[in-house]
Amino acid sequence: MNFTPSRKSLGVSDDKNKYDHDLQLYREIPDLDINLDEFEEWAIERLKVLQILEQLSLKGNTNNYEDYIKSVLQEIKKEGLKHMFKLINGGVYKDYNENCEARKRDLCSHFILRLVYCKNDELRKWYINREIELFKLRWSLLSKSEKLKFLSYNNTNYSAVNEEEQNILTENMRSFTTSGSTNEYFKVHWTQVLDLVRNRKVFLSDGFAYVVQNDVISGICQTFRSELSQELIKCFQKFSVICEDERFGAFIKYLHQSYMGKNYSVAENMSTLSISTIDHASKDSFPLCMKRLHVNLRSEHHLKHQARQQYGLFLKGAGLSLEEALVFWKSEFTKKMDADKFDKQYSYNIKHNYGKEGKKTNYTPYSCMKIIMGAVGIDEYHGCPYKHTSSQALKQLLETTNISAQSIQEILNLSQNGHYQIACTKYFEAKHGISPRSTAINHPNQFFEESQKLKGRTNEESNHNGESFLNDSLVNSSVMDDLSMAELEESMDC
Amino acid sequence: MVDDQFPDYLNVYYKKLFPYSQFHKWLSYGNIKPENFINREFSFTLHEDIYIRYQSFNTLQEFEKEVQTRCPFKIDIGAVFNMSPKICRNYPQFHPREKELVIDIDMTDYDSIRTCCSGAEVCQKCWRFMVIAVKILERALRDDFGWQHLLWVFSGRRGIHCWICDESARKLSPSERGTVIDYLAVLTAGDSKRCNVNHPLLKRSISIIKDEFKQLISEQDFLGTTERCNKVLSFIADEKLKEQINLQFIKYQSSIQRWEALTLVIDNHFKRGLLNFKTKYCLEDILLYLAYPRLDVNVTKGLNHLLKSPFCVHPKTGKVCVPINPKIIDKFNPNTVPTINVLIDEVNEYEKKQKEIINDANVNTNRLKDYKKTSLLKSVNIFEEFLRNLEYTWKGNRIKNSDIQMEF
Ligand code: SF4
Ligand SMILES: [Zn+2]
Repeated sequence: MNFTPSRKSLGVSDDKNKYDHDLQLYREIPDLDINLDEFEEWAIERLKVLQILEQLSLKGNTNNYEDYIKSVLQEIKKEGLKHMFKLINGGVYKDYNENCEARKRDLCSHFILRLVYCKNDELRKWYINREIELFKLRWSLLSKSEKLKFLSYNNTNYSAVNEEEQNILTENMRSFTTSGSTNEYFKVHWTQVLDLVRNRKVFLSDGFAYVVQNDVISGICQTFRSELSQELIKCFQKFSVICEDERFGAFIKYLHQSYMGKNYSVAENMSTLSISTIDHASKDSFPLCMKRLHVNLRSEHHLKHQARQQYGLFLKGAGLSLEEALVFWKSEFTKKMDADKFDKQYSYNIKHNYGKEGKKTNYTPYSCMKIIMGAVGIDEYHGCPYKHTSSQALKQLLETTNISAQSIQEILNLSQNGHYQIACTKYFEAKHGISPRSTAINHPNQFFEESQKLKGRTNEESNHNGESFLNDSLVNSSVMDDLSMAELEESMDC
Repeated sequence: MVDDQFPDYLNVYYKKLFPYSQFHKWLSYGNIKPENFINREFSFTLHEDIYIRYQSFNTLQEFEKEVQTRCPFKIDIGAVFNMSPKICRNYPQFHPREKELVIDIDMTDYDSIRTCCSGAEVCQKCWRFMVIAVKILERALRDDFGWQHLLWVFSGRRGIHCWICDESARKLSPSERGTVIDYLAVLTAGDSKRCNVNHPLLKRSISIIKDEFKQLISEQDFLGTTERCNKVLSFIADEKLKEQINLQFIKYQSSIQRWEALTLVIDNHFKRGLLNFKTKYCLEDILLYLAYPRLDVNVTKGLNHLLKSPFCVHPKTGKVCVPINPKIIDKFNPNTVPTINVLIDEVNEYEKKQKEIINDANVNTNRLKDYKKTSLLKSVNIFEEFLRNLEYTWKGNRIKNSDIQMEF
């Protein structure tokens, strides 16, 4: 791999044709250099947007699309993602260069995240779905003339309908257009709009589908989806080569696991958890994943490594001090082993997690995404119960939590359909009789904090500054070389 | 009919009557790409249900010889693969590439509505369902999708197959095939799912159904019993309206009269603006339910799905799977389709006569192809007509191809 040496080039003047439209099908990797800071920043920015989309559609308020759009925009603005906000909102740029800059960010960040999300089926599916959601949303906010421009720029094979055809159509199309809307049709080969054909939403004649303007998007999404899914697989085939680059290899490898919201590595303002309250809190305020680990620890007097990591870091994030943590773990473990062995084998690791040994890194508690994506072996109890246990076992687990049978059933359904975090949010609601303040649960510590707040254990408002955080171990930010997007592509294409 | 003689008859049929050269011409598609025939999968069902897949043949002669020696009870046609099925079927890269788009309509799928026969039986009365189906699909496939080369074939017992042979149809992916059949299959599971009856496909289909419906309803006696009446009434989602129609049903006896009364009541309601969104299209719903084609979706979806070849002989009925001319589908009678016994008698008869006539004259009787001596002639003619139309397209393709070559 051969990256160009440091070279600043943010020139936008000669890039006109590449950023010719706010909306893209991302068919070509932009030929430009960006530095590593930008590389990371832009990627994280996009990831945040995608997570917002996920959160809001998880919330299930996509029924009213306009409300959904509104809340997405609101959320994006709130998070301070101003480039995407402007770009999505379309046409608010007075300054052409600024517009190009935003388009460039959009383009690059899309390609960087392809690298991050190409690794397995689950990740690819997640990424494709989010990108499609984003694409649809952005399309819906385009003006009509922008839509037409988009169609012609992207060789979508849509052609205009001539007058003669139009006349024949008007009669036949009557049932597809709600009265009052303008009869704007596009003609495209039927194989480009399978969904519309399948559901008899278009008029077909001689192998061509006549598509109402609003439905055009369905066909384009189909194209986008299949192209993106092929590209991600290609990307994956080159993945190991790309990751060898130490400057951003780790970043690409781990970005998808990192939690983009609040960083719970230090429980600054809420040292609420202590040994004396932990049992009680585990019943009332722990998410199911942690509750289960706690129960297991109490009954087995032991937890395996992964489970200790997941639970230990959570406790740290929840405010358990290092001193108390040592006492807590020791008191359980020594019911099965002598104190000497514990000190030798386990205390190091606990201190390490608190940044007091080894590299002195302050480790971050695991986010839901990381926990959900992790692997869990048989006889292991870490992971997310909504994903990693059988529905039978999950049911039993839920039955120990004093929530109604109806809630249990709902939660089981959600988890069976792969909506683990919504299942968790439902559980929160069932436990507290009120939904969490944030849209959905995406961090066990967030679950805990919100629960504690409701229970009045802490009056303090934690500061939601929404600052992004990446674990230090992931990114070596001292490396500042520029990366060439084109070469990135080359290495993907080789 | 399966009798002891069937294998013997079949032997003669394959020796004398099966139209090999036309068959080969069809599946070679102008031989622009030799793979079309060479990599095509055939599968044979032999005596005693022995089933052999992945047969393929390099030439017409090879195919002919193999069929004659194996004498299969049934020949199925599969896909064109990327390599020779016979040799490469165990290679990991081996996969199907192209196949005609096929549609299967089977009378057993009409068992819940037909009243004249059931199961394997079929008569002129219930054949009308097939007539309607062919008329509707002909229009949809030609007008909507723009395909021209449709080969309709009697399936040998109680159904019809349609082979859509246009190049664009042969190249469709499984999901595209699925889309076509989902588009066409208006009646999905549960029988009565509502659909947009204003879609041009449905409007046109309903008018085709209406043309046939008077006869269909009297033949099938759709409103002949209380039970059947109730089934029809279940499509009317308005108790009052239902009540009114039911009163009419009591007044009249025959299905036709009852049907007329029903349409009258609904028409009246319509004119007085009394139909709501639930009842607005109940008449259309009923017509579709009773007469719209019932399609076997899975046969169409798979690229790798095998389908019985034209000109096979059905082992149970002895009937030949003959091509049908869709333009005169009304005249087609499944019960007068040539059977293997008749055909062989015809050949023998003919030869006997010829011998008597030309005993003295020195004329060679064998100059005449055997099928021409029988009632199979008509069917082969239909097949050849279909082939002639196909030929135009590959002539066009040859010219296109030679143009491309000229450029280099
Ligand atoms: S969704 Fe998150 S917090 Fe809830 S159980 Fe799963 S991992 Fe724990
Ligand atoms: Zn019958």
